[in-house]
Amino acid sequence: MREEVQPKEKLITPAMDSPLHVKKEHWALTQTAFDNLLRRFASNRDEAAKQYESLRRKLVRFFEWRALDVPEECADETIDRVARRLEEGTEIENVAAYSYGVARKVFRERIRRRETTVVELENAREVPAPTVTEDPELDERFHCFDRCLSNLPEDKRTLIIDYYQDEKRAKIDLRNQLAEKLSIPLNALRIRVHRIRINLESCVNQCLKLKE
Amino acid sequence: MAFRTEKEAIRVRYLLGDLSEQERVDIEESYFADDNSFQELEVIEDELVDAYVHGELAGADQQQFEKLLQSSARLAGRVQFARILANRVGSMSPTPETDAVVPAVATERPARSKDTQTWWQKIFGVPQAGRKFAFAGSAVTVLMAAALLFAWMQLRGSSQRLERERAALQQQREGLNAQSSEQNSKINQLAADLERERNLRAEDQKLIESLRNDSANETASPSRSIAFLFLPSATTRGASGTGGTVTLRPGQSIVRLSLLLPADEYKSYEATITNQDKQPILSRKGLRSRRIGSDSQITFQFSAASFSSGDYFVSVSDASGLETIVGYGFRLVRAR
Repeated sequence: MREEVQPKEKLITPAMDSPLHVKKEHWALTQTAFDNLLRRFASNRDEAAKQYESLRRKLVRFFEWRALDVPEECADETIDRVARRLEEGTEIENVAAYSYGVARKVFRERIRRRETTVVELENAREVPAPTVTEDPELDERFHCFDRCLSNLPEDKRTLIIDYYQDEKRAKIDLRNQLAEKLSIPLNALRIRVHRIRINLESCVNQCLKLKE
Repeated sequence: MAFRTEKEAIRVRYLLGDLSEQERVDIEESYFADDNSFQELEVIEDELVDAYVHGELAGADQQQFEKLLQSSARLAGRVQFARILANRVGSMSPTPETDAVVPAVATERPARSKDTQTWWQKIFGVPQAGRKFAFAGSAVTVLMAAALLFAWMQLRGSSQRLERERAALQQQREGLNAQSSEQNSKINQLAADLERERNLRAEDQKLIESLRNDSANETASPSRSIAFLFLPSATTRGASGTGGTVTLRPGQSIVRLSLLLPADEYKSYEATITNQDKQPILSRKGLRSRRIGSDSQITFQFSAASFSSGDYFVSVSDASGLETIVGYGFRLVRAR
């Protein structure tokens, strides 16, 4: 039997008897509400989890690109609100579009809160100037990078090395030739390399975390 | 940084936070509706980060990017990764298969006919047997000079890139220093405000003491003009209830009302008093909260001349008056 996919990074509180009677500011996502949200994406749970992850990623990027400093928290708050609406029986035809609308509302609220935040006077301390220093972990970064690169499958490793040979040759020419060689359009090549790069970057970050 | 299409250039501007609200919304709607559009945007972000790392961004774009860099840990991480990628992959040799691709560029050049003379043949004519060694020597010298020139240009390019990075770091450091001093001056300002508030509080305390004394001697001086009411326990949003009673003795016409806030989230507040029929009787705008210990409260006073005995409701909203934050009920009694 296949194991059920549980979307990552979402904390769910134990089911409550009557979440509808909980005050707005104290409402927390329940397993039932979350399952209900997943069902709106797809009937197959794996597919639903995939779509959920995709939506969450978009929400996180949305808040990042709008320069909010806690994008993940804002993304989760958005998802909670959408799940709550669904639980209350709101008819939502397009979850992604509806979530975007909610995300904009959360964004406006956060901006307003940020503008009105008052420094706690009693706890105010002189803020030391952050200093830009040499990166002491550079060797570790190189080490992690080399390890992650060598763990990539051969074809992916070759592709990313060839794609980023920009210092030595005319970048655009080389990339066009690579696309021709793989018989794919240049845009498809860019996306393919992007995916490899994201995996590599995530591998390096995990490797550095383990070293901490 | 040169992008292929106008659409890509607009997306770069989006990532730099440089578009109007409507233009932003258009892009966001598009990527929420379409996964490909979202992925393209992520690809453009990769390329923007690479362009920054290679010093290929124009001045204003570079500044804008650095501003974003200061506020986004994720972006800073991506820049760090892009530097390592450029450093590591840039120092690796391309795979032999790619080498095989490269000559294809050469074949695209127009083919030269076999009998066409090379440029040095044009200058020196067809080399004679005696000149062959001298020519070979010259050719070696020229090649070495070219190799040296190439190496020098490479070094110069690297040195310029390092210089640009150093300048960017310097700029970043100056920006952070400026932020820090701005923050310190804000703290000083706030500390001065706090001191002022403390003085005001001390004065209020004195006033309250004096009123308490007066109250003890009520019969001796029955005509104090101000009545005080403190509503300590805020009711939940929109709820009502009687939180306290203010008794106006003959001659008293001013009520000083202090309201304890459940949370202090706004710069200023608006308070509105309504009667039992929910008719607004009085409204005060621009009220600022004051911190007393760990609590925050707003205080204002009003003339009660037009108030008859009865129950009233005070609602406190944010400065725009759109969002009601808290409500308090109180009873006003006119003593005879």
